[in-house]
Amino acid sequence: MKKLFILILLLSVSLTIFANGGEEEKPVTVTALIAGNPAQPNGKTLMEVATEKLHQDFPNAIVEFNIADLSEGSTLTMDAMLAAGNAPNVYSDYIGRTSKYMVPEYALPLNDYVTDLDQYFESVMKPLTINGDVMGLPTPGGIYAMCINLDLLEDVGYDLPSQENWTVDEFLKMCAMVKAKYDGEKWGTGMFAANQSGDYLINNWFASFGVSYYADGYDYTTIKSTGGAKVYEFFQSLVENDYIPPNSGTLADDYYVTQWAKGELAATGFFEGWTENYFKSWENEIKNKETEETYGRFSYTFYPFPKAEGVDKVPAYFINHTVVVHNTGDRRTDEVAARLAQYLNDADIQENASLSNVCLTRKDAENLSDSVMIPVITKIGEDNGIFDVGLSQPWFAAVRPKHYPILQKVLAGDLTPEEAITAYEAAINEELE
Amino acid sequence: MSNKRAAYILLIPGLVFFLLFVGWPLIEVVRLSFFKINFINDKFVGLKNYLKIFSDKTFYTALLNNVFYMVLYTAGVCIVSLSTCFLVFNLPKKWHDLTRFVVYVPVISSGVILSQTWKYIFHINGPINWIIAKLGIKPVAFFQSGVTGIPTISAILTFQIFGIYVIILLANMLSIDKQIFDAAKIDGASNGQINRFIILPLMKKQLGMMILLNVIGSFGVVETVLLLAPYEHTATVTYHIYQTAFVIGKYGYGAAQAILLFIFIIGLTLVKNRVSKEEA
Repeated sequence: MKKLFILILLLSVSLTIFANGGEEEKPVTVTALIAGNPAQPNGKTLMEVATEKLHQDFPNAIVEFNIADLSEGSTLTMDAMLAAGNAPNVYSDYIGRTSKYMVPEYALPLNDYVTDLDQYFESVMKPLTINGDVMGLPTPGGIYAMCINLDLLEDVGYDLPSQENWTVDEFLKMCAMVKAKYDGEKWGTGMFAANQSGDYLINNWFASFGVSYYADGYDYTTIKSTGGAKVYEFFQSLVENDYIPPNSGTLADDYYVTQWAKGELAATGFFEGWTENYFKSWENEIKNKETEETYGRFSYTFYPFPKAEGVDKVPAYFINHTVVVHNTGDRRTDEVAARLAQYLNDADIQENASLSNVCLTRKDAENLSDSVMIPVITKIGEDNGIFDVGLSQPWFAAVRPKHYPILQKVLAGDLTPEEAITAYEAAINEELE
Repeated sequence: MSNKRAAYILLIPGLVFFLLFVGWPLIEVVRLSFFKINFINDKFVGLKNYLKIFSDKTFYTALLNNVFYMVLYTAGVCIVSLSTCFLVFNLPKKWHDLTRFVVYVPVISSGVILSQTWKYIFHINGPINWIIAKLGIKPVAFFQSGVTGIPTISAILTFQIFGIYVIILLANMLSIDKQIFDAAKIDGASNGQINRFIILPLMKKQLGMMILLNVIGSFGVVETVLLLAPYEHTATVTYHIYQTAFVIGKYGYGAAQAILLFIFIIGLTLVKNRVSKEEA
């Protein structure tokens, strides 16, 4: 009887084990923090499309997402989530912010998880690869170049030279002609220093003067030793000659892009991906205000930033977003998260993004943009190269906000160019130590 | 249930709330101040964050700015609120009520909305510059330098807050025994002499309190700076802390600055308490 009882007990235990083994796997929940959730052509959002694809591979996966607060341009949302012990499995944002998390202590190397890494252009993967480990996926991006208002130049009687002859002296000549006709109403160029978003513009001017940011290996900055003071000297001459708005030091990007859309800036840094949006937003503002202000789009083209004496080529600034996956140590969760990252940036998504006039990072995606400027800008990037400002380095997010307070002082004349570049050099090196 | 026990029980909700939302964050800030924080691999750095403050030029700039804010803002609030009180003191009651209502509107209005309005008013193409232009003077970018930015922000802060002190001071003035004024008038005192030699000395305690509260308040200014002039040349210490921690991402260093400011404000509060006690 005792033996029979033990036998029944063992049998029931075995059955329970088998029964458990046959149960469906527990659903995996992955969280994502994204910098935006744009609509796709089918009316669904980016996250909806990516989640649908993910469900084909992992039917039980649950996807939750948050939109990052970018009002300060910082990594505040991400840091808050990390501090709360709630790190998102997938983080997609501007590379200058995600780079802080593309470190072995945080990011999942994607080599073994993402199945289409071979579809990305090598040049864009290089900065995201550390010791052979792919730490992020590059989304489409934009090349920053000088957008030239052709109507305004014609109006002031300035003949735009060829790109090869587009020098700082020519640029200043153009500024003088704009000032002569539109003193205080329209400007040779624009500038803004109220927030860190101005770094695209400012850094490109450093490129104009042949300044390089970092020594090989990013051990220290070379911004002073390669002549950075000349850039600040140039900025101060723009202020002194009234070639930029007098309140540039206190302007933020919102105001700058409106100045551009209103046709008030003759030649200034811009992304082709922004042009349509800001033309439209100014158009809407006029309509809503029902003012008598007239509105007319102007014709424009893109040039590299002008080159200073002794500079051969002016490399352009390229920015994009990066998708980073958190290494949780749980193989299954990481697998689902990496697949979500893959679908957030696959060929379909990139093709849709191309309609916003951005440059693609995948070989298998077709550029659907009808903008005639995309080939022009792409050529600027190809001919002049990309300016290395350390975007993919983990300290970039800390270095970035240190520049604009210095720039404000430069524009206000509170610092000499030499003092300013010394301060900037120290601020950067402090982060690199 | 004894009164003592009931008092303790009634204290519990408030105490829990305090410990959860003030006590614990405070301890956490102290802890953070000894670390280099990135929330991935935090590193203990001992007193390094505190020592760094002493060589941080931008912190000193913010501190110096704050001294200017303290002087201008405190003086502004005292002068404007006292002047308003003296102006309406001898008028009929309906004027007192109207004044209280009008001056209190900015106090209860949203600081964000007020700041946006001021931003427009002081904009390079705004109404103030329009008037300036009519006088043949070049437009002024008010927030582009500390020289114009700090006084402008101090004036805005004064406008936003002086209503509170008008209410307090006016109530105090009106509570003074009228016989004192009658006696002074019989002795030939003018209105100005009554204000200076009778009313002001009688309100010494309230004025002292007002000055100390504004001195402390000036170190807590962040919202207006953030919305109107988020620049180093107009930064207050609190704004600088916000910038260090939440924009640059140096949470540990920001925490160390916050602790120093906390100690400083505690010191001022102790002074305030001592002054109040001596005058009581």
